[in-house]
Amino acid sequence: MAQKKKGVSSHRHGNLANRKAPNKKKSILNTKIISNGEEATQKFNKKKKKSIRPYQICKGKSIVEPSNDNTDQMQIDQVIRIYLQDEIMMDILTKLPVQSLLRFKCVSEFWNSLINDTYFRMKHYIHSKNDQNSQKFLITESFYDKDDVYNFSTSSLSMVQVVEDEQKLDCPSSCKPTNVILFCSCDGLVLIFVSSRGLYDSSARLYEELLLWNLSTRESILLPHPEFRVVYCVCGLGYDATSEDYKILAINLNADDSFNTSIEVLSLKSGSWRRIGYPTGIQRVSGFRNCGMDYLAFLHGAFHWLGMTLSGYYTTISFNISNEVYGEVPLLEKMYHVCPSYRYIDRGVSVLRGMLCFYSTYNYWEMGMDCTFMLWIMKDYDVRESWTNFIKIRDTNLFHSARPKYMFADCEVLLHCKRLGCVCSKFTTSRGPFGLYCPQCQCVTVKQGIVYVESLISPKSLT
Amino acid sequence: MSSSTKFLTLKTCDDKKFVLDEAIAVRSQTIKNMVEDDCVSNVIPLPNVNSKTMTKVIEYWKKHSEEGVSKDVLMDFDKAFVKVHHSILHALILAANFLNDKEILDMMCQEVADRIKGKTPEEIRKEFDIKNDFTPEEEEEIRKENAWAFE
Repeated sequence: MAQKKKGVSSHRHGNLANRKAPNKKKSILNTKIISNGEEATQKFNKKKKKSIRPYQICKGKSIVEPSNDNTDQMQIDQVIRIYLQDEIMMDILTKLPVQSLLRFKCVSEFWNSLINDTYFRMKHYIHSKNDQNSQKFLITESFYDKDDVYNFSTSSLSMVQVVEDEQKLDCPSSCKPTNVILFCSCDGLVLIFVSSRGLYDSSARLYEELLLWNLSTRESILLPHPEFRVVYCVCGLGYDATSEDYKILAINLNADDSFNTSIEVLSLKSGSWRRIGYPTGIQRVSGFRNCGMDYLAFLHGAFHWLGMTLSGYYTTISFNISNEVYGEVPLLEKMYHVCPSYRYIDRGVSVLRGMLCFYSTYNYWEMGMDCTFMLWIMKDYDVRESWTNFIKIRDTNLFHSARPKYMFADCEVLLHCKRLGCVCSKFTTSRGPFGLYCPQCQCVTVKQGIVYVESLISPKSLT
Repeated sequence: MSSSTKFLTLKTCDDKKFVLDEAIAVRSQTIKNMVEDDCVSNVIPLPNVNSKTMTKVIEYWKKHSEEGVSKDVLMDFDKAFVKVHHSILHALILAANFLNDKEILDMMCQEVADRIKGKTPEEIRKEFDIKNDFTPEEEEEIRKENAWAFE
């Protein structure tokens, strides 16, 4: 185990790998392999100078001294074969969906310990992260005309709008939800707020829970509450590689200037919230609901949201979760500058394919409806000149707010659309169609959705 | 580094010889290492690979070394390539692993994963000849923990 720790500690998820494997009944794999995994193979491939049969010398686990003597050949081959089976099996298992893996824990003790192994779980996640089929979409649906009904479902993220593998889920909270906020997802973990009216005592008190939820394993943990009610906050979840800890940021949106804005940070390992200061001279941007701050975009170890300086220019505020230092990622003026006749403006920042993006929706009301949606992408992080206009959609009868959620392989973007004076919301892609909204608002479904990656990372192991 | 030989001769475990352009053969990291280390004399023995499997591997190497083949054509080729009997799939994985060809290995492992992902634990045991070493109680316990995964 000591070796194992060493091998992966430099990795981003070192903390996961370092944790003791639970209930390991047997040593499941050769420790050397667990410890070094791919790195060992890579290293080996580089320093193959002297060996004639490098592969065998490297892999044969019972052979101490490499030998060219033919009598050893049989023995080596035999050892290789048995040994490789495990390694290959692990390779195959990392490519399986989480549901299959949870089922396959029953196969044998070896499979059970392998699937529970923290190093395997990390390896599996690294594969999932880059695998199109492991990108999933969590949707919550509530119906405005039916109180207290919240449906949770998850499906693959497919460009084909008809998704076949939709699965219904139970809400992870202990109470029946009357309000749900999906904040964000990180490493397969979803940060979710659930509240319920008066189910726990007669005084109809609001019952609220903030949860960290792994949908793939259906495991969740309850998080402590910040000082401010979560329902008024925007929250973000990110991994801090420096402290090898997940951190949650909550910004109270009930204040409209920096003087009153308060921020709290929760590090999962410490289990308690801490209040921190907000940069002076930064104001909220005005516009459609929670404009500029409905989502905390996490990339390069920092959360990002929109703000306006006292001199009136827009900027992206960044907050580094390792050293807790604020910064700015500049915008181009043409990105946020609008003609005064536009009304009902929505703007914000998000992350698409690991790049910071800025979106805006402008609605022109004077002569019928004329809406413009723009999406900008910052190709090189923090390089102002690299902002590129990526999508421009102009349509009538569009939406008042379109917030990007995901970019498909062919660069089509999944959008979450809302309309003013209408409770319903829906998902569409940047290719449209946009006209599906019923003008009289017959539809009463409110949808929220979040893209997450399948993972075996257990929220319980992170606190 | 010496690359005086343009062609390499590979000898499989059933004593069949394959003469192959070195530029193609070095898709195998194992062979590449041998070539770079200058330890290729005449014939490279492949004690872990039989001729049937090697024919498939070479078919893949040649297709993927062709010039001007479109992505779509290669995708179709790959799709057809993995559609083989279980035993050949298994042999190809071992061969790709021995030859250290990550591309083939990854593709084949993915194919196995796709084939087994919907199976039950019983079917998995049968497929890979695995002995169930749980007591019935232990198995039931693990099954209960993730009952939804069996739906």
